Amino acid sequence: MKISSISTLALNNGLRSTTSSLQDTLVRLQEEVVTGRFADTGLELGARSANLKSLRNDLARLDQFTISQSRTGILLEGTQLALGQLGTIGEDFVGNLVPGVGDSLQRRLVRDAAENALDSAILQLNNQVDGAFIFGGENVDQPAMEDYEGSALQASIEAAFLARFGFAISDPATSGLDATQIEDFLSNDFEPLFASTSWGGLSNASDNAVTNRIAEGTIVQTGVTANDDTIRDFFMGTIAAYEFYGSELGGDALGVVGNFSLEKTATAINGISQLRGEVGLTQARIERTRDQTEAQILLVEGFSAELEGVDVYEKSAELNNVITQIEISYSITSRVQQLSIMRFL
Amino acid sequence: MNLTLTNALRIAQTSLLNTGTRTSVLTDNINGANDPNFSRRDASIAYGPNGEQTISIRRSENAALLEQSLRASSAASAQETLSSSVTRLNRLINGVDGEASISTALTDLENNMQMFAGDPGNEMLAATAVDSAREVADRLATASGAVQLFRAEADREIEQSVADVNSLLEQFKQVNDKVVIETRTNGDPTPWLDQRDALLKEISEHISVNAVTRDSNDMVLYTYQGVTLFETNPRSVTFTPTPTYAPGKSGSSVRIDGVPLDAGAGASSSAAGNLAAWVQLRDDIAVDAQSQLDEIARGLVLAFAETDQSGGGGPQLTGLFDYGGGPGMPPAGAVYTGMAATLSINSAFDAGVGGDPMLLRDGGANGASYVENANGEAGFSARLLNLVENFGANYTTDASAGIAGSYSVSTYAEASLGWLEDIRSTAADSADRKSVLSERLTQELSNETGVNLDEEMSRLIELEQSYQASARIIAAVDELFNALLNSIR
Repeated sequence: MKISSISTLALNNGLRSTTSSLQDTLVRLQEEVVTGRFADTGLELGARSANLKSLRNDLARLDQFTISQSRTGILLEGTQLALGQLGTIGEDFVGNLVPGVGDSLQRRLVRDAAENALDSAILQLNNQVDGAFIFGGENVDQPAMEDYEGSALQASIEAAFLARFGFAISDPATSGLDATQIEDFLSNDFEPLFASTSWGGLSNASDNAVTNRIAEGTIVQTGVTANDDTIRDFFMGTIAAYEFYGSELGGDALGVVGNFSLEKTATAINGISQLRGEVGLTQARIERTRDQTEAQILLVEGFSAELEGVDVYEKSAELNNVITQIEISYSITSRVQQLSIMRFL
Repeated sequence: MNLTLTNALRIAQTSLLNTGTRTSVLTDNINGANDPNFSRRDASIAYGPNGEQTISIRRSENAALLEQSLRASSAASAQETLSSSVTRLNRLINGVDGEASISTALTDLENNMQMFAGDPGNEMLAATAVDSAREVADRLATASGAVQLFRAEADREIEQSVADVNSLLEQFKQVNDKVVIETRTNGDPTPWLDQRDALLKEISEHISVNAVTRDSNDMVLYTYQGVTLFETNPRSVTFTPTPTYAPGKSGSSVRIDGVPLDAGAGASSSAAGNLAAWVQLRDDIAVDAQSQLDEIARGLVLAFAETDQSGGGGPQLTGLFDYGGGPGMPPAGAVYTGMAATLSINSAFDAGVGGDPMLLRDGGANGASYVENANGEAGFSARLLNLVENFGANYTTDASAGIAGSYSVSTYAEASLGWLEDIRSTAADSADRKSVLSERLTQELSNETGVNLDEEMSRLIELEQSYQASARIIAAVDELFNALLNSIR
């Protein structure tokens, strides 16, 4: 007949398995208290690990968007500055042109002013930001504009003049052209060259503006291409003045050119203000998107911390408990093992 | 008077003899105190017609508890196997904490594509994007290889387990025969019974058994499926190992007495015994994991496909990602078995073998009709932006891979990670519960049938005293006889 309901083996094993499971818990709690996250998120979260992974991926994606946003912002900033400069150049040119309209004595001065405006404008349009020619549209790896002097566009203009009147612009015979003739040439031969493929003789830009993805599903046009009508107008004005104020054109005819140039440049200056406004809008939009993205990052970080984070205070209290428990378990083990009837027999 | 004295002497002698037998049983008990398979024996005393004592040795048993304990230990060992193996599989596919996962590599690729789309003229960024695509393809191929190695490993474990079961059954036959012989010849079967229980416990780790005891302590074993595993002689457990695995290749089943063994099902597995758990791992979990890798690969091939731009109505063909069946598209909506293993970077994009990473921006890996950037503009970003958006575009995934629903390639990779973590977490929880139950039952069984040293020691004192008392009786009777003989001399 057996009286006791506990075997010696069970007594010893019970203690051993309790101690070892407590030690496992100790290691886990230690890590959780130190890192503030679950020691093994996968084990803890199970299927919700997909959510955690998704949040982490979102974070990486959002970080990437902030990089895209700041780069796009820099490109637009560059565009904005260059357009501002272009406007100033236009205004300066107009300032020099107005007193010279129709005044043959100012001929030289106007021509120099036109040349100056032409060169500075090309310089601005060939601005490079972060390795990209910002006015090139999608053609970012080539300067947007050629030098006008010696360009294919200049050759086309000269050829058109020669074809119409039978002599070159530089020919002294130009002095014989009257206002109607030159007006006809400007509107029917000269102006169309800027709308046709001949424009490509000066501009290397692509018609398509660069687009950038600044947020999920948000694609914005970044910048202005040099093929924009405003830019074409600008060059129409300055080139007309540059070409004809250097010729022998008579007073009335020169007045027609001056007015033409003035009108085109003024339109361009207006257009540039409008372009700057549009670029500014995009800039503001990027700024807003950036704020949104930052808020989103905070939110996502909060979510993922909620998923994988642990309450450190709770865990350290738990840790203390476990340590106490292990100490008790050790002392009991040693006492139980001393507890042998042999010592009393 | 004379007669009664002799009688007293004889009883005292029997008592001495019985004390000896009981001491020997007690020594046996003390000896086996720390042997988990030892069952305590009890020497019980019966009284003869003349008041003499005879001793019979009984072994403490609790058949119901033993059976419960065996069943719990089968379930616990299966669950333990499942849990630790799924953890291993997870580490092979996703790394520690998901850091080496395909999902992470995909996000890197997406980010690099996004960066490239912001600066499409930058060849460096193109090369970086292609590099991270290569990383994705490599990781998928590596994970696919690891899953197949894992299956081969499971196959080897099954083989080993089957060999163990066969050899255990062989031993079981010998021990069972001894038990039957000892029982029939009225010998002492107890040491053999202990051994038989120990073997039963070992067999239960591999496969859950129902033990039925017949006449003369003869035992018959049935598996939980009801197939006879042992009756007088062991039935054959057969298995043909498959040394290497490839996606889509299935292994052979374990047959007990010709009947195939059922695999376990579910993360908190129905498997009882290691064998069923390994079969489940090899044929169910690992196969699903492989299908999911193949589905991710298919999603990538679709997302990066090139479309005919010439208006000639040419078919969609593979772009950046190529696979064994390329350049044609895989059939829609179904797992293309083994795709992940053959996924690679189209050599047309690979600068290392004379390809051009800029094709990623321009298109045209499949000839001039597939070029999207017709003017060769450096800042052309439309295709890149489309590709980036494609990461989030849904495609029809095959529910037979274990994940149902509508997913984009990024979310599918995340869901696949969640699927495995879910199994792992459920399996680990369940393993904890099942092993606690098994431990508790083992403890209870040990309490029922095991030895308590204190009790045995106190019993030893009892025996000592009973021995001394009997000896004293003999001495007393001796004195009485002496007195009697002296008086008649």
